Amino acid sequence: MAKPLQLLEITVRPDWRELTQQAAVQRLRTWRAVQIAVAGGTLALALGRLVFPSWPWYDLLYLALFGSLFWMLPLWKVLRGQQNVAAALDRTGVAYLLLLAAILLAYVTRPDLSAPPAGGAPVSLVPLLAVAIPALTWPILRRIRRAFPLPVAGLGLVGERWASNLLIGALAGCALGLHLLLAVSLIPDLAPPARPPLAALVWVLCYQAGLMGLGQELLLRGLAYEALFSDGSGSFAAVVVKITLLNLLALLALALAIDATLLAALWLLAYGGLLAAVATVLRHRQRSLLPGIAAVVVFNLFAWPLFAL
Amino acid sequence: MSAAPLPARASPRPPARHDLALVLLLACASLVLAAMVFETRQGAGSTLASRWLALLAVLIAAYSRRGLAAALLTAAFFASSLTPALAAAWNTPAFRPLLTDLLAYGLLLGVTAYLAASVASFLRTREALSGAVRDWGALLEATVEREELAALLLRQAAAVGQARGAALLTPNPVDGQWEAFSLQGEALQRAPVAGQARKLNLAQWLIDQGRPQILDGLPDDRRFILPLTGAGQVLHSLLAQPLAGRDGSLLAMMVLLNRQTGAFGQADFAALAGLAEAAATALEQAGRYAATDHTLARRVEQLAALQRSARELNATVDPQAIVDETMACAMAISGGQVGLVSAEAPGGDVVYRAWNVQVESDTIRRATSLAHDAPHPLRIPADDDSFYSLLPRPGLRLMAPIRRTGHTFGLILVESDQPRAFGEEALRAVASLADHAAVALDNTRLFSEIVREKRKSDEVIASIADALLTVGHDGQVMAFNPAAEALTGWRAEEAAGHLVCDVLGCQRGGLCRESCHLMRALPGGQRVVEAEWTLRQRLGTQRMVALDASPLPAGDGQEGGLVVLMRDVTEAWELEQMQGELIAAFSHELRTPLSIINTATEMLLAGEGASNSISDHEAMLLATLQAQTERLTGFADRIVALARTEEQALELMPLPLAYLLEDIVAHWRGSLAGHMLRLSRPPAEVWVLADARALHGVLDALIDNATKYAPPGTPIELTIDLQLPGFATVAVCDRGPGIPVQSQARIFDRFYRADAGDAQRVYGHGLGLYLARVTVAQMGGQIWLESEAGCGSRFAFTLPLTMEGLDEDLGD
Repeated sequence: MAKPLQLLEITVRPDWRELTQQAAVQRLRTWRAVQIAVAGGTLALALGRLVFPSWPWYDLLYLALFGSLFWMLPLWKVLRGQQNVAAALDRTGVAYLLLLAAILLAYVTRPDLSAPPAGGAPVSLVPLLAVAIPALTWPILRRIRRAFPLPVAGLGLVGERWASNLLIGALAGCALGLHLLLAVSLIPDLAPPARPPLAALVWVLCYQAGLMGLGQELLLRGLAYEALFSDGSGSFAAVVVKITLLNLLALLALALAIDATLLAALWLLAYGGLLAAVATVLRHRQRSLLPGIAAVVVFNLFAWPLFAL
Repeated sequence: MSAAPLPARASPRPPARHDLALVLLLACASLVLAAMVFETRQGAGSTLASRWLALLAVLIAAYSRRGLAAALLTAAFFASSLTPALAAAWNTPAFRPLLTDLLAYGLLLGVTAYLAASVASFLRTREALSGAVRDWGALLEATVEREELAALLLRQAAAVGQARGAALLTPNPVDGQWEAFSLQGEALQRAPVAGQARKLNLAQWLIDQGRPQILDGLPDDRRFILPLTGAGQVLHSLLAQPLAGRDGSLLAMMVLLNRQTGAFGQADFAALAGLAEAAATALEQAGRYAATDHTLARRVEQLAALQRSARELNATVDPQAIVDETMACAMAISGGQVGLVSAEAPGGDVVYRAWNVQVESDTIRRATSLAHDAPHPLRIPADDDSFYSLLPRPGLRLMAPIRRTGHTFGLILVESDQPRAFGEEALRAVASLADHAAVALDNTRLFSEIVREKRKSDEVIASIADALLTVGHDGQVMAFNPAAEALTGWRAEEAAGHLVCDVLGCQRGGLCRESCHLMRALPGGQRVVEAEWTLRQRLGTQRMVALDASPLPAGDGQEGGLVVLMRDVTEAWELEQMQGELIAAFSHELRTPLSIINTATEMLLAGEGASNSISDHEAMLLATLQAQTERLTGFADRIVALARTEEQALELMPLPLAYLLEDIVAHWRGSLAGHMLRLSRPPAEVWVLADARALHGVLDALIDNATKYAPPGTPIELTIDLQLPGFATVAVCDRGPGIPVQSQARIFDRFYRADAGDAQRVYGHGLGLYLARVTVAQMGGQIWLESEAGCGSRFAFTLPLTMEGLDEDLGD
């Protein structure tokens, strides 16, 4: 019986080729699943807008559909085939999830949500309630990361050099957001956006950092990036393009959900695509998901007064 | 099989300083944009003064790792902030000014990005070059293999000097010969600089010059031989840069061949300066490493050759083989070109072996005589004419006398035409080889002496008239001399390996090992002495031999054995037997007529049967006849007693010695008139193992002897003592004239009488003491004499104590 190939101190498994092929097939399936999910969600919203244009709950549908999509696919990828999942997500974790669902339900069913929150309308919300969102989601992620560090690290959730990663992402988002503000300000006919109230900023910050922005990064810069580029093969530019296009699809769904105007949708797609490309580059450069999350959150602080994202 | 995911891609992420640069760029961009937004909010319109701040961000981006791309991207990013306003002004009068403004602004940013990126690229290249030189220095210092180092230097020098080729001229650190290295493609070539003396050797000329120089316009006539420029490659120009060591000596000459563009100039020297400095350090280090490595390898080879040669030398006693092996080893460990080993063999002959040279006998004699005068191994330079040389023009000679304990056997001479051919290590190795050879030759001498001595001893053993054989510890015969062959009828080669019992014709069969004296004596290493030993010869004839077997000493891994010396005493034994039988027969035949004569004489003296009384004269004659008859009868009785004593076995039994002596003393006191007989005895009884009648005979002989020679009135003392362990000693002392010293040794011989002046006065036959000695010996004791002329004599004999007597002896 032939001994396995010895290369320095590394023992190469005799079935490494089969494993590599299996992993490639698995990544391709994951990428297709992500594509189908995002495209399906967008298509559902588009069809809904087409069939029932006056239905008032598209933003709630977007939140439920894409919130589930952003979170469930990466978590499914991490937890699939793992042992002790129940132990990792014990009663406390389940309680967190239930509490998070209750908070979201309380928010979306509040009376002033009967009209879509577009047009820069102020948001009257108890900030503490919004703060509870990231306060619940991040510990859950931390718990999962402790239980299954390797697959979570594969998504890009690594703590190494977190400060510089966050700073780079925040500055990138800030530069992009200021560019947006500058571009808008230079158009004479366009009214400058009003200064948003603090509660609204807190809401955007918590909403993006704890739920939608974080989920979007987990799906697109985490799961999709890993599926496309974890083995380092292929063109990175192609990866950026693919992920950006998928991100644009998700933004189109958002535009449909908030019933944005054509001009607003163009602005949203232009800057959203730019932000997606920047976040993908930062994910690749920094080997971390944190810059992308920070960039998305900070950019939304600038963009929310314009689009009420 | 579990389909566990493979590890994620493990490419390194950028270092932290690159993160800092990115943070700086993003912060700058954000600040610029914030300023622009602020100015816009203040109503400045599209002509913002703050947008010039974007140039700062472009400059920062231009200095980043990606340079021009990053700068252009940054410029486009800032310029793009104007495009929405331009789009909004479509079909309005403001469109053209806005477009002009945007183009001007974008052009400015783009040109700035390009210029800044170019400057940054220049600075980065310069920094990289200096870093590369530093890295090259470190790389060269870390390279200790000369060939690897030469290849690195040649590639780098050709690249720095923009030359089509390069060569490195450097001396070999081992033998000092200059070599030239060059690259033919990727392969490193090496050739000696010396050679082809009929043409101008340009490499040698450059080395001799030893200074930086540029040669241009070299003629294409192949007159210049620069090693390794390659076949077909024409040399037009070259640049030579000497590399100096720390002490200023010339370490190497770096030569660049045929500049790719233009001609070599002073700028090329400046470009090579950094590399030359690092190369000199590295070459010096590599030279030391190579020299050390060569020395160590050479030393290991020398030691291995010495060990192998020592084994060979120890395994032979042939002088010619020793000389041959020494010569081969000397050449191997010294690296010489020619050599000679000569040595004096046992017997005075001279054996020799020459290597790559023809030598005459006169040469060997001269060299050997010089070795006697040489005090120690030495290296002889070329200019020393006092010593013989094998080569016509030797560079260096190495000579080691083969000497041991002051005796010079010969010499080892190795020569080379190189003046530095033999180092200190070679000298020590050859000296060590000479010691080994001396020991081997000394062993040869000792071996020949042993062989000679053995031959002598063999001749001595062969010439011994007595039979001599040696027996091993297992009872097998090992050596046999001719006398033993004649005595036993076995030939030496036949007897070797046989049991000594078989050879000596032992008749005990399978019990031999247990019962034979010789076989029993082997394990304990005891001496066996037999005055009469019956030997059965191979043909069955019996011979009587006197045998003396002495143990061979064991030790040094050798088992013991016996040396058996045998003398054929058959004729003497037969003669003695005949003598005894004759004497016994004679005595027996004499006693009968003597008894009749004595009886007749007594009857005549008594007047029985006579008609007339005899006269006084006849009575005197009859008395004389009777006295002489009695004397002759006594003599016959002694002879008969002697025969009986020698023949009959004694009946040994425990006897009370003191009681017996008191009885004998009482008997003698009754018949002694002129002597005082005293007995000194221990208070307790002494029990001895003896025959009562024989003991009486011994004491009667000793007391009778004392009464005959001691003057009347002197005491005769009998003593018993227990001084000797296990024995009782009985002594008879008199105050007689004593026995002369010359007679004491034979006083116990048969028919011997000491000549003390009174031999004829005192009647005797010389048999009493002989019988006493034989009787005491038969009882297991010894008898001896202590006497001094004029002071009396003391005859003492021992008797073995019985167990009772022994217990009492120990108790006392």
